Amino acid sequence: MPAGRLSRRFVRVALQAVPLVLGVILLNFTLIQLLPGDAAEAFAAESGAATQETMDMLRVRFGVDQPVFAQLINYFHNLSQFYLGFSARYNAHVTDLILARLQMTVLLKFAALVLAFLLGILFGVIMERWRNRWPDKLLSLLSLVLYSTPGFWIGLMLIVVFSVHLGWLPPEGSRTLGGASKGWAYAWDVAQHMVLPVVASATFFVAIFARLTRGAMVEARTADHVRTARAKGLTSRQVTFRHVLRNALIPLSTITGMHVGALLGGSVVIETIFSWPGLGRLTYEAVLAREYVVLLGILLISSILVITANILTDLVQTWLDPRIEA
Amino acid sequence: MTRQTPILSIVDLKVAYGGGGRAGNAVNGLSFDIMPGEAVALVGESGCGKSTTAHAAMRLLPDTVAISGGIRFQGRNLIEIPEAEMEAIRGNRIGMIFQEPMSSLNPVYRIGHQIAEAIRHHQQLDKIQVRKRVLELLDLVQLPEPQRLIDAYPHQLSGGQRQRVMIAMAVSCMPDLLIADEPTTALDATIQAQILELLDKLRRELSMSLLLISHNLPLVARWADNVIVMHHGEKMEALAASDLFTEARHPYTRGLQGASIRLDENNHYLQRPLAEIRSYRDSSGQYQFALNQRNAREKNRPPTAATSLLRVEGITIDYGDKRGRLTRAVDNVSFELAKAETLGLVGESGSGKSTLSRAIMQLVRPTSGGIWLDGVKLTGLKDRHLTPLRRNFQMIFQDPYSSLNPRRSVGDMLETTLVVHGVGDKVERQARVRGILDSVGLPATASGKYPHEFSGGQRQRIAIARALVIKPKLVVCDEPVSALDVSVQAQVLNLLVDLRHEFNLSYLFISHDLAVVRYISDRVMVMKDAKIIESGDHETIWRSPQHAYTRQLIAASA
Repeated sequence: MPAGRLSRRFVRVALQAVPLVLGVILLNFTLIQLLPGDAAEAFAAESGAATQETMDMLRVRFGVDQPVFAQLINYFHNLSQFYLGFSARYNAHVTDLILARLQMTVLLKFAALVLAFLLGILFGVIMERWRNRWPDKLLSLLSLVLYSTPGFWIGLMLIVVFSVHLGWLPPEGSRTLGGASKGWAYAWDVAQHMVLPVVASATFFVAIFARLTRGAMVEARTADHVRTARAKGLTSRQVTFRHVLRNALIPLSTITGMHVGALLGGSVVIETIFSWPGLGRLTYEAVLAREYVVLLGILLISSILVITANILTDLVQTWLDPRIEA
Repeated sequence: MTRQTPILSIVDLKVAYGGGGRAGNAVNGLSFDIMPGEAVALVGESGCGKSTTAHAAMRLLPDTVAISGGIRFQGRNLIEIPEAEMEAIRGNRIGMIFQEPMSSLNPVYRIGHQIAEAIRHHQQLDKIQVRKRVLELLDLVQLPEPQRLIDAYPHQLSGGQRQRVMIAMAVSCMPDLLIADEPTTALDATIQAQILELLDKLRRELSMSLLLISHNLPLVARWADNVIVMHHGEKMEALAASDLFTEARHPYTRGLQGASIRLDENNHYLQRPLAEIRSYRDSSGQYQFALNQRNAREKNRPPTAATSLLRVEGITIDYGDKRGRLTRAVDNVSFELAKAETLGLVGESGSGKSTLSRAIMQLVRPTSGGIWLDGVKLTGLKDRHLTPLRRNFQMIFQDPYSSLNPRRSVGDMLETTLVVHGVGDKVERQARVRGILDSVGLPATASGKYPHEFSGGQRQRIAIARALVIKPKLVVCDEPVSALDVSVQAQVLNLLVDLRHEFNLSYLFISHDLAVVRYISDRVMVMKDAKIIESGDHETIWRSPQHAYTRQLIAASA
């Protein structure tokens, strides 16, 4: 029963993730403690000035007069209510701030990952099929170029070509100001805005996935069962897709999962170039403003995002490889 | 008798691998016919071109290989027809099974799916009919509970079961010819016999022809009608299987016979060394074969002194898996090994014999029990006390390809062993390296070479030299000849017998091959399911086996 196996696997990897998440939270808390000054001083600094009485009052309100352990308990308590602190600069709760940006980043990066994966596999299959012949050499060269060109440069060139010169696609933002805010018109608007940043995020990973697919398929083709498949009389296309590519997906999915973190890390640059209202740009702004509360919130949410991605990778692998025990 | 047309006719087949070190003809002008319903065996040692011939018939060789000649099957030359026509023959008119049942099935698909893939490809059947046919096939190859197995994945099956699945797949479209490339080499003796019986039964029931590829002379003599003996891509001799051991004329065939150990032949190292066959090219480039049958060894006396060297008492070894479930690999095993004695240990894969050998080598700690060597208790010793004692017990491993470090020269490897065991003087070390290389029959120049420059048999000689260079008292041989060709096996076995005499060694000789163990051992133990179920003198254990399993093993190997 594959469904049963998958859900058992999910329970297991989810449980394994619990100590990891706790570790991340502890690390986050330690970082808060290491910050110079405390929340009350930061608040006072934001508002310009404060008397000693106000400071004491603020300290009691923020709970920073408590011993460290009590503060930790308090931190956990806040987290359990999804409270990550209050940003004076944005005049908003950090949780709301992040969640609003998070979906935009996830949308962008998920689209980029899917694009990179599909294109990478397509290139990889072509390269392996015509190994050491001209399609292989041509695509190898292309992937080398994509691999070595920085994403920000590709992003800028895309804007120059497709927005400035050709005027086909919008160069920045996630929607047209004053445009539709719901329904299909809104979706179409966002989709148009997504194209350039998605392509710019994906290029590097297209190169990586293409090389990996090629390598994994070359390896998979040497397996004895591929010979069995040919001995059955299957056509070379059937052998390639059902027995070589299918099995190469197993190592490929591992590597894909490992790259999710790198993909998220790259969002700062891409979102800044395309003025995409995502987590990356929020990070950038928060760094410039020394807005530690927001940064720590982003750190925590990003870690949880990567852990979630790893759990998903694990499940995909379990689904792909029946030898993995539940 | 009317002359029938052959189902497969190989005419002057030449197969050449281009470049890449394997240049030259793998098959060189081979011709033979297979009649309808006939079982023909290609027999020979590794590199003789038998597998290449089988793969050429299925056109499974890579594109870089040059093939010429004729492979005539049902009126067509398979070398010339377009790929699409060949796809219609593969798996349909000609089925094939391979040597490695563990890896020949795709691990990600269910058994039923993989068999169905072959059927759907060649026949117009709907889903229900295909499933019905797959169940029939699983039943035909005598797999238990087809209804359950059809939805199993390959890793849930044993090696023997996987080979049955392969057979079911190969015969799914009722082929006219079945090619079996070393179908049982990777399987245990009792499973081997069952698979060959199944192939024989199917051949008759489905009136197929069979092309059996094997390195095993006794096996082909029993299961084929006609036998073709190959060497360096050429046919040495073709004869009826029943005449293989009586009428063979070619020196190479006779050499292979002499080197083969058959259980019913009743040979023992005390009576007669194995014949050694060596092939070489003469000045005109022709292959010549020299058969070297040495006389009985007078110097080899059975061990008389019954002083005990190794004492194993009540050894139990449990392995725990990730979930803490315990598997008992060795269960309360006790035995003694006398000085200058060879004790054979026979068992199938998973019986616990390798775990036991590792425990004797102090590589795994037993859960309970003790091991004494020369009166010194080894179990429970701390590593630093154990290290100086390790020179007394050494091991020879199965695979001479992976058990030697590829980046160390032979001399370096042997010298390091001496350094580790405190032979400080460089001159003495080099003298001993030269001495041991000479003893194992390698030239002194071998010292400066690396493992990849040697053949499998030579590598095993290096491994033996490595074990013996520090003058151990006990040598544990774990399947030392299983990976070797029969002619090389004979040379290595003869060498082991000679060395035992020369160095006054005791052997614990572990093998799955009954005939080999019987030949080389003074006493034999049979291991099954973690227990020693029977032990005794090498004569009596074959003459009057007490345990049902021992009888079964003997029957399967005969």
